[in-house]
Amino acid sequence: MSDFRRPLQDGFMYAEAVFDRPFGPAWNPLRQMGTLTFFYFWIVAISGIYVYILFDTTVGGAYNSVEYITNQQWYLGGVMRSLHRYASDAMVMSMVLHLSREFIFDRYRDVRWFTWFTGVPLIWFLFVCGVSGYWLVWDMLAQYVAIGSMEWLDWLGIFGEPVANNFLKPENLTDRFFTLMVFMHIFAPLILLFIMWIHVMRVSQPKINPPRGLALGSLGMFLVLAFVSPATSHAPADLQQVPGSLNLDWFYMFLYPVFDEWGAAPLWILAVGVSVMVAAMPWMPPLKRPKPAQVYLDKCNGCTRCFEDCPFGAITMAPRSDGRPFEREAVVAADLCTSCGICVGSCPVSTPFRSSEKLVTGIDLPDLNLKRLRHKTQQAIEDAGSSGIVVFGCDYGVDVKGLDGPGVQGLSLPCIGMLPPSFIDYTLGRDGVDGVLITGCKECECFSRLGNRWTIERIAGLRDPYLRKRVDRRRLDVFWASRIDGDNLKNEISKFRETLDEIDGDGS
Amino acid sequence: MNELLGIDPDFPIFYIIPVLVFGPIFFTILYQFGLKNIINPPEADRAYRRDLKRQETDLKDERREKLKNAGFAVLDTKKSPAQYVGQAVTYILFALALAVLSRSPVYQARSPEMAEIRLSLTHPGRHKADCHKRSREELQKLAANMRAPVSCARGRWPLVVKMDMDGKTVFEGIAQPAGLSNDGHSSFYEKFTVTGQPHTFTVQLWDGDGTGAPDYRLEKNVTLPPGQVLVIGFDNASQRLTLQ
Repeated sequence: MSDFRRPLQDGFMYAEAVFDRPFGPAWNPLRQMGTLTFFYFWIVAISGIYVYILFDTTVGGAYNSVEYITNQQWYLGGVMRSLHRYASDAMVMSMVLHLSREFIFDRYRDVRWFTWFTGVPLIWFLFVCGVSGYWLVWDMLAQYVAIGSMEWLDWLGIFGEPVANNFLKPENLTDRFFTLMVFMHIFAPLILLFIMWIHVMRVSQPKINPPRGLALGSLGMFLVLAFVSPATSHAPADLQQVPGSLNLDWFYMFLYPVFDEWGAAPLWILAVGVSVMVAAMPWMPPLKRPKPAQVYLDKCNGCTRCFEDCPFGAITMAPRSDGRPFEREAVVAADLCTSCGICVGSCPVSTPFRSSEKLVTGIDLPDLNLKRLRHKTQQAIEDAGSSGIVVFGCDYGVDVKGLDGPGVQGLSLPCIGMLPPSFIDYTLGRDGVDGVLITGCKECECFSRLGNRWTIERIAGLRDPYLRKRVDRRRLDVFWASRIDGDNLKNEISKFRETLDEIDGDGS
Repeated sequence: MNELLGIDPDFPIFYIIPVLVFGPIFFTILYQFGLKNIINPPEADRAYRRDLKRQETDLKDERREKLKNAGFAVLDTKKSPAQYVGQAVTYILFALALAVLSRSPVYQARSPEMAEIRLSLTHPGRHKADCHKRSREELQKLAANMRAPVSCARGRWPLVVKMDMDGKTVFEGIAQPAGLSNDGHSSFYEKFTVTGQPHTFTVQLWDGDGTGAPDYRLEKNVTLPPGQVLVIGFDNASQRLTLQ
């Protein structure tokens, strides 16, 4: 992990720990920023459709229709308008937090470049949607924003005549031009939605809906806000007057004062420069990762488990190429593989209970293959002793290597999802240790997206390969912990130790 | 006919006729090609959907049960009252941030005592070369469909504008004609903030080679109230500089 990000990561983790208390890990809003942005979009879209039904698309009628919606029909139209505004603002907030989080936790390079890269036009289109929406109210704020936007665009010199001329005098602004602005506000969100779809296209099993409780909570918050502090307009636009005091929506309009101060050219340089820099970040520098997973056809029977479990869609099933009597075989797309090892954990052949000299599985990581994993596990068992505990952890969660001491040995994997359940059986087996503790990134926080989910499902017998029933579940503990939870993990180990002592004391 | 049918006479009935004629046809086609299955699905389909729903619920319950039996805390379980209070506090803080930042702090787009001048001119410069009448010989050399009697060069001169306020030059600029052949209009768009008090404006415009006396000139005393917009433009119909 990059050192300069470490304090930021710690900050985020502490903030998440705070939110974990009232919301729990699954509802923690900081971990749901992407899904919440999708949800806010739907609120904006539905409320926008209602407001549009009552909206007058003429220059002369727009302001009055918005006033009617806000004041006469405050109980529905006004609420819808407020939902439209506040959910749009919330989209900016959640989007900024979402991309900051992905950057801070280094989840934008390598195979994730596509998702990151397609996020950049999303930022632009979100701002086009928001700003063009403010034009339509046609009050003094709309006038200020519309003229500012047009003057900024005019600097490009791509229009024969300055578009800002449409706002010089009241007679210059025609209903036709105003309708064009309305259409822009309708088409921009459609393009936004299309790019949102592209944004998650390459994500395997993308999550685009927040947990129901969080969605209902957010919706309730918007509704209360709509009644307590409804969205209102400024005075009607008057092109013969210069707007004076304005209640800017700082979520969308923070660049307009910059434009007033600096002018068009520096703002273009800033906007385009920042966008290009952000878009290029996945390659600044590119992530150096271990070698991708490799399929060993002599052990692969094409069972599709690795294909189903891969969180990055890096595995496809292709027709058999080696003549063996199976229909398909797994194929790894090296450019999509993050070497998390989840495929190794999913392979039913990944078992340490074989005595063959060359321990090979159907799909393996060249840098930490199954044979080496068994060797390390064996070493940990020996070092911990028969009354000890072996802690399996992951490189992105709490540090388990530092736990090594009398009776406790830690073994870190690229992702906890790499651990085949049979290794738990092996570690607790006849010549094994007293207890096994599984840890890894916090719930809903897995660096490799699905590692801890697959792990608990395998242990609970919900997902192949299952943890065998003969394993004494009392000697197995699962405790998810982020890097800042070192002390909590030590406490958990102590408690687990006590439980194991009780079991041993019972003689069972 | 509209009156006979009791329809608003300003509403042309021919707008309705296509809807009345093609609407039912369109609806019938849609209905036959799948809409009927959505509006009124066959019992077998309904039973199938019910079955799917039941299976889905059963799977969810099974998952929940198995996770519980394996000793895992099932996520999204009931929250305690204290947790709900904590959530409410979070939502209130979030709502406060939205309510506040969506309208404050107030931004002063202009000082209360200032007015604004917008110099917005769109005018074509003169052609760089005069038009000339083609001779019979010249016309003969051209293809039959290209024999325009008068030939004009396309290129235009750029516009030069100089604006003085109270005897001091506040703007001086050149605008190139639009278009790849420089044959379009030239445009200026500039904004100036001035104090709202009497001012004398002198605007000079050259639309030729830019030498000698200006081709257009306007001088005017204007008293601008604060907040007022004054537009200095060019009226192409009357061929003069304007001040509004």
